[in-house]
This record gives sequence, C-alpha cells and structure tokens, in this order.
Amino acid sequence: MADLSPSERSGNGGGPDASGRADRGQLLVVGALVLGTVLILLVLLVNASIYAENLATRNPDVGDEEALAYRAAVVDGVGGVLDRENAEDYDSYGALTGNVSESIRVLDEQLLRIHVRSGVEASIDRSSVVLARGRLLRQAEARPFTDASGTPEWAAALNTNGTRGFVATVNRSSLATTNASNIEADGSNADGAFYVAVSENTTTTEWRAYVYNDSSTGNLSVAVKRGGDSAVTRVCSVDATIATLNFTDGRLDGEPCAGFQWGEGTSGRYDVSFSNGNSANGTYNLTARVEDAGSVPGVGINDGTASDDPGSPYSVPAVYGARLELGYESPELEYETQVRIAPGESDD
Amino acid sequence: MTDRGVSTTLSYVLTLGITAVLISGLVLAAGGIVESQQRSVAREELRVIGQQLGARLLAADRLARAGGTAVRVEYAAAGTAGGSDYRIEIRGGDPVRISLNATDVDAAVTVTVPLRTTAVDTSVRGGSVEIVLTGAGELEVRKA
Repeated sequence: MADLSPSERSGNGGGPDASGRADRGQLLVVGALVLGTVLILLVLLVNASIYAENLATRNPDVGDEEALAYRAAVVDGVGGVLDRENAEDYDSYGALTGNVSESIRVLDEQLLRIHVRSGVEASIDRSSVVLARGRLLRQAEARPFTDASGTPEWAAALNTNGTRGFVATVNRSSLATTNASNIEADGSNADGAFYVAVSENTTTTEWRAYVYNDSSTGNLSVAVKRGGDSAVTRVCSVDATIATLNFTDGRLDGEPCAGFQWGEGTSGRYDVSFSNGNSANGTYNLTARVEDAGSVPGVGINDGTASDDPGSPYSVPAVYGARLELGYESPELEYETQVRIAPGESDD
Repeated sequence: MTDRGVSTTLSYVLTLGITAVLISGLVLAAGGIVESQQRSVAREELRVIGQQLGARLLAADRLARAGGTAVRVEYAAAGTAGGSDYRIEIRGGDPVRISLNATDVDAAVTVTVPLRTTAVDTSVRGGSVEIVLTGAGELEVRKA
C-alpha cells in the first residue's frame, strides 16, 4: 500500500517532496474508494437485473384453469347425479329431491377434500341449490309408441317449456314405408309414418320429426318439418334394423344430424305429442319440465313405476334441472359463479 | 536548491492536477454508467411486471367470460423497479394498454393485452394489486 505517513526521508530532508507524495497518495486512495463504491453499486444493479430476468421466466399461472376445471367437475357431477337419481323411479318427488340433495352434498364434500390438498377452498353453496320439477316418461319394454290403452294419437307432455334427454330406440321393421316427398306432397302423410310433434301452445305452429322406412333405399330415415314451414325434408338415415334417435340432441345412432333440431321454428311453451304410434315399435325415455303448470298427462299413461305395468309407458317424478352457485378460492384468486345443469337439453 | 524548489512546486501542482482530472473523469464516467444501467434495469423490471400483470388480467378475463359473478385475482408485484417507485396506468380499449412509469428514473414501458371484457381506466401506485370484476361487468385494477 502507498506510504501515507509523512516521514523523514534521508537525503531530501522530507519537506515538500515527502508531503507531495503523501498528497498524491491520498487523492489516489480517495479516488480508488469512490470507484470501488461505484463498482459495488454496478454489481448490485446487475444483480437486480438478473433477478428481474429470472422473474420473467417464471410461470405466471394463477390457477384460473383449475377454477374452470372445478366448475366443469361440478356441472358434470351434478348432471350425473340427476340422471342416476331420476333413473331410480322414485314414487314421490319429495323422496327424489331428498336423495338428489344428499348426493350433491356428498359430491361437494368429495371435491372440497380433493382441492383442500392443494390449499384451495372449492365448494358448492348448498343453500343456493334450486331444483326444477320435471317428469320422466318411459317406455321400458319394446312395444308400439301408443299410449297405455293403445291410442295412436296422444300427448306426452303439455304446456312445458323444457324437454331433455328424449332418446328412443326403434325397430325398422315396425316403421311405415314411405319417402319424404310423399309426406310433403299434400302434407297428408298418406302412408301413416310415425311422427313426434312439438306444437306451440298459443298458435298452430308445429315442428314435426317423422321416422319411417325410406321406400327407395330401405334405410331407417328421419324427416323434419320446421315450425312455420310446410316442407318436409329428410335429414338423415341409417342402414340398420334397430336405431337410436336422440330427439333433443339431434342425433341418429350417435351421429349428429344437421337439420334435426328439436322444436326448430317454435318458441314459448309447447306440447309434445306422438302420432301414428302404431307405425313405430321400441323403447324411449323423455324428461319434461313440469315446473309452473307444465304436465305429463295422467290419462293414457300409467302414473307409477314399471312394476305396475311394465308393458306400457309410465311416468315418474324427476328432477328436470338444477341451478346452484359455486365458489373457488385460492391464495391468488377468488371465483364465484352460478351454473344451470340440465343434461341432454337441445341447446347443450 | 532554488531551481529544485520551483520544479518541485510545478511538478506537485501538475501531478495533483492531472491526477485529479483523471480520477474525476473516471468517477463521472462510472456515475454515468451506473445511471444508464439503473435505467435499463428499471425498464426490464417494469416490462416483466407489466407482462405478468397482463397475464393475470387475461386469467381474470377468462374467469369473467365463463360466467363469473365474483372474480378477484391478486398480484403481489414488486414495490420498486430498479430501485425506483413506479405507477401503473390501465387504458381500456382494443387492445387494453398497461403503462408503467418509474418516478425516480427515466423508464417507461407499455404492454398491450387483448382482453374481451372491458377494462376500467385506472392509475395505481406500483406494488401489490388486485384485479376485480366490478358490478358493471368490467375489470378493474385496484391497490390490494
């Protein structure tokens, strides 16, 4: 290190020379100290820059995907609960809703436990659960699509504003043989093909879906007349002896069918009716919303379980849909939403 | 001896003078480097904060569009950027603009975010913030 102390120098006698060297030494030291401090500041800044760059590489995942996944799990879970409990054919609506609420409670607790492990509170607000009353109409054994007393023209649901899960399995051999132009020609349906009609309550607008055996191809076919139109158009067909039709979801044997849209062209409350029931044979399920003055008529349908008369259509209480609020809370986010669950509705 | 006395004073003054000039030149240059480094670090940190805030705004947007009735996303941002305080300004529009301005250094960054929900125009001090869905269905950035 530089010798900073003014000392006796032999030969020069110290004096100005010695003090000059000492002053130079001090200046250098001060300058070096300042530069040292500046370099340390630079190092700190570079450190901050490295930290900032590191922050940039971190995943800014706040968990919104998990929140939406929870919402989907609740919708699927409660939908499954409704379908399962409805299929149990309860005698009374009270017993059914009691079991549905209990199942929702179990589902809520299971999901809560799974999410608590990741430090998240995810729950259904059980006090917010509202169930919409419905009725499940069923034909469990293959027979004509007539009512219990064999009448081919009858109403399946009256004054309803929601139908879901209308799935029918039909045998081709039981269907009338015709083609769409025959039905269309004079609108008379002279060959008597079976059809399901959705008719508006307040007007005469009607949507129809005809199910028949096509006379030219021999295929099981579906033709649709939109509400407000008079034209009947064939929308899909399948070459099979038995086929499953999903009326509310617009599918034939699982394949989506363009143009096969439940109640297209109608609006408001409606009746669902079957015509030419003798020209179709098979089984079906239909859930109709009967909240606020809708109904599934007791006349012509056995109001009871399958054990009463397995050979004819029967209707049992069902939950049409559920509305509930759910919440998802983690250290980084809070999310609450209200969902409506009605599996198998035509606008799903 | 008297000659030596003159040259000693001169050399003393010259040495001191040159040393002083050199050292002060070095210190000034170093100071300048530190300042520009500080600006660049501040800009870098502001950019990171802006983009992370943007990512959280997008997350809140997704939750709001999925029928959220109450949405709140927190972001514990650093209180300073490059040693300086800063302000966050949100300008709604298409796309939404997040402007971050450091107050003590000359550094400003703008980040754009393509939100589908409307964002409220706000200005908050840098630091922990939260993104909330207002009653009017808009996203607002507030001080947490």
